[in-house]
Amino acid sequence: MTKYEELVSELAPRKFNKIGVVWTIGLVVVVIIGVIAYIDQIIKGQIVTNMRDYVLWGVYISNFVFFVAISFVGSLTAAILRLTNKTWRTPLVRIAEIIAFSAIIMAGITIVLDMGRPDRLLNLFLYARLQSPITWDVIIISTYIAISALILYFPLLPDLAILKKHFKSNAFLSKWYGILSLKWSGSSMQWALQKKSIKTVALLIIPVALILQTVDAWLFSTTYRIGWDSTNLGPYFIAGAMVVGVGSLIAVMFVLRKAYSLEKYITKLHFDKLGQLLVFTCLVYLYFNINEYLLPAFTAPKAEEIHLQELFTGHYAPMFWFVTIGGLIIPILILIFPKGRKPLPLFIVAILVVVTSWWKRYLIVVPALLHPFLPIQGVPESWHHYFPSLHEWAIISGTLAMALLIITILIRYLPIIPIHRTAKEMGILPNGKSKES
Amino acid sequence: MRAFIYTIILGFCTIILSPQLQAKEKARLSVNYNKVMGENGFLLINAKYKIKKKYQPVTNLKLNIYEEISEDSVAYKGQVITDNSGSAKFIINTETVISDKVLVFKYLVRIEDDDKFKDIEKSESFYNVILIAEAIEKDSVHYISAKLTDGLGNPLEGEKLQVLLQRLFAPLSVGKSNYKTDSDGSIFVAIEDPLPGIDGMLTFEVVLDSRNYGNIKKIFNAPIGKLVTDQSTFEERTMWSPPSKTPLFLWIFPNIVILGIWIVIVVLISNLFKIYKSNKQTNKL
Repeated sequence: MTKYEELVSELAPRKFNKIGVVWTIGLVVVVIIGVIAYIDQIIKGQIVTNMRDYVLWGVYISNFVFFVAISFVGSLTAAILRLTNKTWRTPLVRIAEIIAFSAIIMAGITIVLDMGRPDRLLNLFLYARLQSPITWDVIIISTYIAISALILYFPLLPDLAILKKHFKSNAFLSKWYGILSLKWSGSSMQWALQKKSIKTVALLIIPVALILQTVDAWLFSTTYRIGWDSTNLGPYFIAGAMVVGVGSLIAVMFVLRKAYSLEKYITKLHFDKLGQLLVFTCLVYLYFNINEYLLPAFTAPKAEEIHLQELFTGHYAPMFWFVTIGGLIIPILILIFPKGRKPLPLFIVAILVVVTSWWKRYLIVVPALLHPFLPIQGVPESWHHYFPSLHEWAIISGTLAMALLIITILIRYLPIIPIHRTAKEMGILPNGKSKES
Repeated sequence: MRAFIYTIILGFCTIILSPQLQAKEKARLSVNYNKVMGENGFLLINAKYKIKKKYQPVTNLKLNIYEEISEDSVAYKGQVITDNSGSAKFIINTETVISDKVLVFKYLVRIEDDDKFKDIEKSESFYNVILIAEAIEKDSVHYISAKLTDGLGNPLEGEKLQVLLQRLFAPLSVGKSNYKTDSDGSIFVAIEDPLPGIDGMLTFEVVLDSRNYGNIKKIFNAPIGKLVTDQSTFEERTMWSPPSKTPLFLWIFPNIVILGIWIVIVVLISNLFKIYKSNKQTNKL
């Protein structure tokens, strides 16, 4: 077996082991529970949720913002590293692209879950007001889904052709890899078209991702509500998305490295680089957090003061400090030291960052809604509090499981690490020089 | 004797062991009679109960309404259910039922056989009155003239009437906070300052809020206001307008950006076709 063949067999998709099968079944079960809860929600209406007239954007919208933030990793890692031509990027980019693709698909689905009448989805387009950030959001999410699919697909073409040959003993797989590879032969014309397309899509995805995050922030900041009425919210959301994006990439990368024994390809250097990126993004996000909370604390009118008190010392204080200390301060303190950027501690920090980032979105959405701009007198007690109902938890768990399931299925059938590019970098391509250059 | 003791014990056990009986809360009811002249009157009912030293509205509570015909007989009139604010409205067909009566009317609102709340009754009594009001002009001065009589047309003296002007959020008092009716049951209120109104139209309310007669209103329009033009931006292209009135810059710039992005996406997809086709061409060659 040549070195090249060895590489292909190491990086080609493999069947799941027992843990992989149990993991996939577990995800499918959670998705099914979520689907059942959603069907019940459609039948009975949103009364099954704990959303009422005050908190009308509950955990669904928090989860939507979380998915949109995670999808930012696609542009951040994939596009920026591609355009800057960093050679160490090779084992990371596809993982980032897969995460971004699954997250943005689930963001689109989560909006529908939040709709009281999903059967009227078409009305969003038919009666759209171009002045409404919700319309911009629908347009930009569908655009980002298309671009995320393209940035994932173009670099896959040579690998799919390699897999067609590799799986020639399995006619079914070989046929599908052949179809998906668009009969890739590696001609110089194909390489030229592919390179040009990747460069274009990498350039395109950065502004689109920035627009996506900004529109997501404007959904909130255009409503005049206490806690959201801020010109800082666009960059604040972008900084937050960078943190959770890199955090999720590190977490998935660590698991795949362990599961597929990829230590040779995903090295400590990659963790160190991503650790540096994470600490940088955490510092930027901390800066925006200080802007977002400290200045209003000095200058806030009464209503904003109540909102901040709720966060700093009130009902949401434990969650707020858990998110701020656990999701920003501790990661910064650990990751500034090289020892903290080793795979295992970095993985633990990344998990902490992702979990706190989810709760951070909850804190952005819910407490602001509990203090309406025009309070209604004598409202029922239940409107003054919000915690997701069992239906909401089941549906949200279903969406998170679905995102992981999409990643799992893509990982099952696509090479996690680009095979052709790795072989080229190692100088072990079978025909000597690729026509790529 | 033994049967009596058993009955006492059984009764005692029922009270002690029945959680439903023990858990029943005491609700508080308030009932007020309201009427806008020319429309049906209604009872505005509110139910609340005390929990953790705070009053909360009782929602979804069924309330039975009765009219007291005589001291020992009542007639069932219907049922209402409280909403999220603990309120319910029971409409009384005053035009046909009580227009010729002067006597007191007494309505009873009862909580009966509710699972959570104890049986309770609240009554509301009121007399039938007639309130008429209009805008008049005398010596180039505009006045609001109102007259209050009982159901038979006898003037009611010494009752306090408020004169209000309807505005968007809350009515505005015209003149003093209230005016007492004279021996003729009338009041005259001069409108000294010019009051602005769209197309000069003003909507006034003359209100009697009395323990004996309930909350009685006469609402009427009068074209005596200072003419103001409508400053609504509804027909203009603003960020708050309907879709057909989208600002032009919002039509132009975002659509150029989105169109530009989608043109690039279409080019990229066409590149996929070119890659597919280029293989065929290579094979042919």
